[in-house]
Amino acid sequence: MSNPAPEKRLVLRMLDLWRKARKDAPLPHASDITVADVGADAGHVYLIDVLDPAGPRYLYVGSALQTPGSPGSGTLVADGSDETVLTLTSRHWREIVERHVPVTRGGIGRHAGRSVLYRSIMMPLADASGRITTLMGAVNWRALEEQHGTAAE
Amino acid sequence: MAPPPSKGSGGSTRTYEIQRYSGGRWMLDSVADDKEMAVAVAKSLTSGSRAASSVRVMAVQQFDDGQFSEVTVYRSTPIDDHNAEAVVRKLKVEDEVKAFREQRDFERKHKDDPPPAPKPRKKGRFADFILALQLAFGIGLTITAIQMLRIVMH
Repeated sequence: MSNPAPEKRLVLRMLDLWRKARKDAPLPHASDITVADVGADAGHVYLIDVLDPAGPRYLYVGSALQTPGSPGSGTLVADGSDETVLTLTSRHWREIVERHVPVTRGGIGRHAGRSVLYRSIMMPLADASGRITTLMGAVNWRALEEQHGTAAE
Repeated sequence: MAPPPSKGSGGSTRTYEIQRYSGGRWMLDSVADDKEMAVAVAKSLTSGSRAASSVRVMAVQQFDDGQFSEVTVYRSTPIDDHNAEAVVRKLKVEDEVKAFREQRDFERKHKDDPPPAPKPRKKGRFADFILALQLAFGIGLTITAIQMLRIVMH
């Protein structure tokens, strides 16, 4: 019997990973999913510690998300630049903490100086008591063709 | 990658809640800002080893004044699947009944008609050849018989 075709969409791959880690619990334990589990998608993944006294802070930022001007590991989410998909997507961290479910978002934004169409997901991870401690996010994007206005003839 | 979600008009935001039926009630599974993605997530819930039997996607419109409305934009339950199969079966039966009725009406309409005249047999070249052969053989046989009779007479 052949294996099913791998899911093409990053968001659904991440969601599948999160569901498998959750098993029958409402939320997966923070130690149940690591960056190593993400495999080839690790470059597009980030982790946020939502319990840091100074505010949500990046624990890990994948290599594909590290561009000049983008926040790195250890940076506060609030300090990120709007010109990166990392900041665009992670600024909604509060919604995931409040709703206790994964949230996927997409849209048009700026990344590395270009207009991009992005799609992201953030998923809650909890400690033994069920309290959300970490958010795992993932985002991919593609550059949009720059629209050059031309005078109507 | 799907295009960005459309925003609701009149100072509102729209989200799509993916819900699964568990323990006798609908549970929020995840949230998306795009309908296509929400439906894809809902469908992914119905596959795999821990597949949910019933899922649905609710479009939730939240207005600035605190009001909200929600409407089901996708649903997949065993009953829906059963109904879909029933519709297919019903259509198939209807087609069969229609074909049967058409055949029956045709037969009733032409019941009193005289039977169609048998079509004349087409004679091909081979049949003509066989006929010519038979004639030649018959003539030869007749001539031979006459010769033998003349010999006997002498």
